[in-house]
Amino acid sequence: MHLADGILNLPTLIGSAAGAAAGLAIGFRQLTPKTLPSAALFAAVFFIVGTLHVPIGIGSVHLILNGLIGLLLGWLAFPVIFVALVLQALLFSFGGFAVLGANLLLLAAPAVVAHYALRSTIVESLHSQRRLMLLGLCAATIGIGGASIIAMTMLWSTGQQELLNLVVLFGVAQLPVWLVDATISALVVAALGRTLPSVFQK
Amino acid sequence: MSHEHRADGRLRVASALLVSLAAAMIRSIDTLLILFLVALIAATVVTTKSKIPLAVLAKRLAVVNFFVLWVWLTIPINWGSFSLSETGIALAVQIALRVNVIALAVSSLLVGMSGIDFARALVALGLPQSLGTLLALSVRALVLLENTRARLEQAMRARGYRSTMSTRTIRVNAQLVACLIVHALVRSERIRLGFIARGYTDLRWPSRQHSHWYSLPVRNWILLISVAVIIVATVTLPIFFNQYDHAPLP
Repeated sequence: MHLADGILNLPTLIGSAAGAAAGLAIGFRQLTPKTLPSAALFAAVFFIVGTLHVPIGIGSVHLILNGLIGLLLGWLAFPVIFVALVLQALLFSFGGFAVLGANLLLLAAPAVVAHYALRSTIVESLHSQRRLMLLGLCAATIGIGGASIIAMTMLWSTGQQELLNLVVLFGVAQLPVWLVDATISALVVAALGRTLPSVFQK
Repeated sequence: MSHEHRADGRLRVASALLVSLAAAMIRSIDTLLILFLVALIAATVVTTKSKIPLAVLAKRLAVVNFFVLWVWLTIPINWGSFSLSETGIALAVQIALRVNVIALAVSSLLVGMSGIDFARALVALGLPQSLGTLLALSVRALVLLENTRARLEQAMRARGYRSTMSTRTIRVNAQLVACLIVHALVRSERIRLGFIARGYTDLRWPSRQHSHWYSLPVRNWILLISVAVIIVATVTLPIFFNQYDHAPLP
């Protein structure tokens, strides 16, 4: 889920960049020599996951998994997603540099919300696969739902009446993304609970 | 174009940001059209001189124009009455030109720049050192995890897996993601122990420092100055010509 460079106006770009900078500042405070290697590897995972495509109808959707990343990393999701977005913009022209702050805010802010909403529950649910799957589904719903709402608000805040159709289409287009992302997040959280439960206990 | 002949990374990133912000501010379609033509010529010349196939540039443009397609499907058409809106068409043209100007300018200004070069430039422009360290480590981790992913996908194909619209595809992709996360966590633990063994205790980025701004050769500054001049000229020229067109005849 990327907003392309050139669609948002300057006040929206500046406002979202300020929000993203605040999130990054908090994220960097949690970046220590102990957390740095895992943050770097999660940035690489987030980047690679973005290139995985799942066929839907005549097209395909690519995974986002920002809710899952948030569930595992908390505020570190800001620097991790920032790095992945920079690499995507640099290597594939996904997103762009002026809109980097907006894309970071819309992906990382719901990730942090997912972390604080679900993290304590997940530690208590490690014995039940069903509950883990449900929590994975909730993380993806918060991740994709939050990102869609923030993106639609950004498009709406440009104040151009003609963009309203795009806002609606953007929201509708996220439904298959949510469906795939939520199913995969649920299965991944359950698999991690089985194979590496310590990941949720740190 | 060799690495030595390219301008300083900081100035290239600053120029790319300048174009991106300027294009986001410009509303005039005439100005955006001129900028698009200049960016198209610049990107074609730079790509050819860097001995990169033009197909790479075309592929990048195809990626960004996929989004533009959505814009054309939604903004100019009023789906309720199946009519076209003049304001909507103007806005769609504006967005399409803006998106392409930025993509072309960024492609030509940051051509051949690796993730590490970009990280060095960002740190030199004032972003935190820890960001540079994180970006540099992520680029390294990306190569390692891409290899792991390629190995896992090869094993999946060897077992007869084909990506289709089915629950099996979803399950297999979930297992692939879980495997990548487990690999990442195990590897990160090894890297952390390696850091401790080497006495690495802070987040400063052990890279060579950039030279001072004032000691940069003049030809490095020409890039940033040319970008600024082109932007100012394309913004002011249409205003000048419009005034000339509407001036009363003697």
